[in-house]
Amino acid sequence: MTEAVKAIQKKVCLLGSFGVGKTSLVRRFVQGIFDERYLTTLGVKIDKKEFTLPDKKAMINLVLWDLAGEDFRAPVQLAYVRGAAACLYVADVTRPETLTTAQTIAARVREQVGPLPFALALNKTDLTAGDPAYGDQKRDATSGILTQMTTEGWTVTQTSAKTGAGVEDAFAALALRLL
Amino acid sequence: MAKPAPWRQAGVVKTNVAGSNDDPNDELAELRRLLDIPDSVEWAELRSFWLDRERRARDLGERLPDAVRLRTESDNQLRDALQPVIEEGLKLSVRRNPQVITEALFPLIGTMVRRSVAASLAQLNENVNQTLESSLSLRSVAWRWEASRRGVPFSRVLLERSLRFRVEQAFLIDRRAGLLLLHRTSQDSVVRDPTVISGMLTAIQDFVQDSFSGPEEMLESVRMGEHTVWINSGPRAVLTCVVRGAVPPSFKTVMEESLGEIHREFAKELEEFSGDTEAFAGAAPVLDACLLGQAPRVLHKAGMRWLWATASLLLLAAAAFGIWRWTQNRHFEQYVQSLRSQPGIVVNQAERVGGKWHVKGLRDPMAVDPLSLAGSAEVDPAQLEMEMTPYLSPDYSPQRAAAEAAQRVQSRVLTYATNSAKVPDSAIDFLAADIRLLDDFATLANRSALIHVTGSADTVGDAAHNNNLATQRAENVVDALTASGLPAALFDVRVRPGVARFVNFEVEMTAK
Repeated sequence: MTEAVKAIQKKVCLLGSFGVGKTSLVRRFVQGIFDERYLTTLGVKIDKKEFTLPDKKAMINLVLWDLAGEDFRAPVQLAYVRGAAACLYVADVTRPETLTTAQTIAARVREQVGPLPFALALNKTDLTAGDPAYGDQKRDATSGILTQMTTEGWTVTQTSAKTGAGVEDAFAALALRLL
Repeated sequence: MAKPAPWRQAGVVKTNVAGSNDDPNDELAELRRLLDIPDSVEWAELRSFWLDRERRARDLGERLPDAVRLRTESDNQLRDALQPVIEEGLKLSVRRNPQVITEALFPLIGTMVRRSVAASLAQLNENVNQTLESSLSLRSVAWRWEASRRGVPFSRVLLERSLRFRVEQAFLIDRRAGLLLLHRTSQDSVVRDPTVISGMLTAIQDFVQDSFSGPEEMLESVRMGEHTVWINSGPRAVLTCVVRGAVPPSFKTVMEESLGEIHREFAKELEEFSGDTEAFAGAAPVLDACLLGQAPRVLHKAGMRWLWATASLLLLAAAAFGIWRWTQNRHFEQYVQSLRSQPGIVVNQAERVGGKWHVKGLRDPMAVDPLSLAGSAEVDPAQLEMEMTPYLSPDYSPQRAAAEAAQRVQSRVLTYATNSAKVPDSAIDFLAADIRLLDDFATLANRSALIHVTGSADTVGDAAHNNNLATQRAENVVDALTASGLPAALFDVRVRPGVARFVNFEVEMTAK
């Protein structure tokens, strides 16, 4: 930490269905020190990303709480969301149901933790081109939910943990909203 | 009560309408229906309800719980409004009727006191153990001195010095989000990203709380190998220390006090915290004070150094003692040796008994005094215990015989007639025999005898003549003796006139 630049710390939670690529997204974004086994044991893994914001003489440390994905066996442990400054929800563009899951988790967070800034990272966008499994039906379903979410106030960034596209943007957009 | 009551307004309407209509009942009813005004029966009912205070009170009583619940759900104003009233009420109750409060608290007080006493006793027990362990040692004296020199309590020095532990890191963590407020480390500790670690520690705390206990119970320590993570939670911040080695329970008190101080000093900053950690830089001294202890290895080294120093000193002392003892033994042996070589002394036993040298043996009275030899052998005479039985040693037989012969010679006195120097012949033969014996024994005893032959005369007559007479008497005796074969060197003539008419003999023995 340099003394000239003021550093602000913010806790940001990553939430979403199981297998949407939250951890890959973080791995793309930071160089963490913890093993990913923490996710399966504790249900959470913590990493840090330092941003120096353009035009602002401030540095922001995003402390990223990567929460274990929600699936039918276990819901996300919302105790970990306590004290968070924002939530980044992650969904898989090829699985429309993961968008719905993001919506329901967001509703639960709002109810149990309180209103927090939030955004959606629509991950795995690299799979949309040339993938036979990603048919028109799914594309329509996805865009249907997306339209609805935009009216609910969601900001959506298309990301690909595989190529790295949009990843920085997704986090930077959220970081800017925290200042 | 400042506003007009509703039924009075209704009454006004009623009067106005009644005074300007032919069929007042129908139209009035219609108007009432349009304006949604209760009819007279309902008005009467409302009026009687309002005037009947008891009914109103009953009604309020019925609705009050719901009202309280609804209001509490929406905001905290009711709670805030009631708080001073309840506090005052409690105060009044304690003052006027303490029995009620006492009875209500009684079941709790027992548990509270027991817990508090048990905690204090455990603490005391630990302290007593530590103090007992170290109060009698040499180290504790040094620590007491250090405590008085530094002006800190002895217990603090005890904690710092007696225990093999070291607080390597201290984290001050925001309790709600697990964000790192301040991180301090002891020198040369290996530290990974503290921001992330504090998040993880908070996650673990959340995990344990969620899985095993309620929100009021906190994870207090995590142990892995030689490291222990100690967690002390306050209402707004958490103090976490990473400790290597065995941690004394009293360290918990140090942490509690530090966290308490931080909550006092930084109350406003903690409350308003939203990610800016700059305000907490001032808490560094408080956290540094938690970085107690010495590295076990360092202490171990120091301990070894002391051990070595002590061992070396002991060895040196033992060696010095050994050399001293060996020299002493050697001196004594030399002394005994010199005693043994002395004629007329027989040493039967020479040993060390109870710090003294004991010598037992035989000694001829003519032999040398054993103690007179101690000085030359560098043996302290005070350390010697002699037990010498007297005996006649053959070593001294010639001396004794020579002495005896000398005695016999000296016992002889030759007497003369007046003015005569004639040697009495009969006496000379016995005298010559005695002197021959003396000379032989003296030779045997390695001595030489010198016989002073003294002539004398009485005082009658001329002194010069008397002097000549005395000389003549002595010389005549010597002549007669040499004539009998004795060497002239044995004799020495002396004159002592003016005593009586005699010649006598004095024997002088000298070592050859």
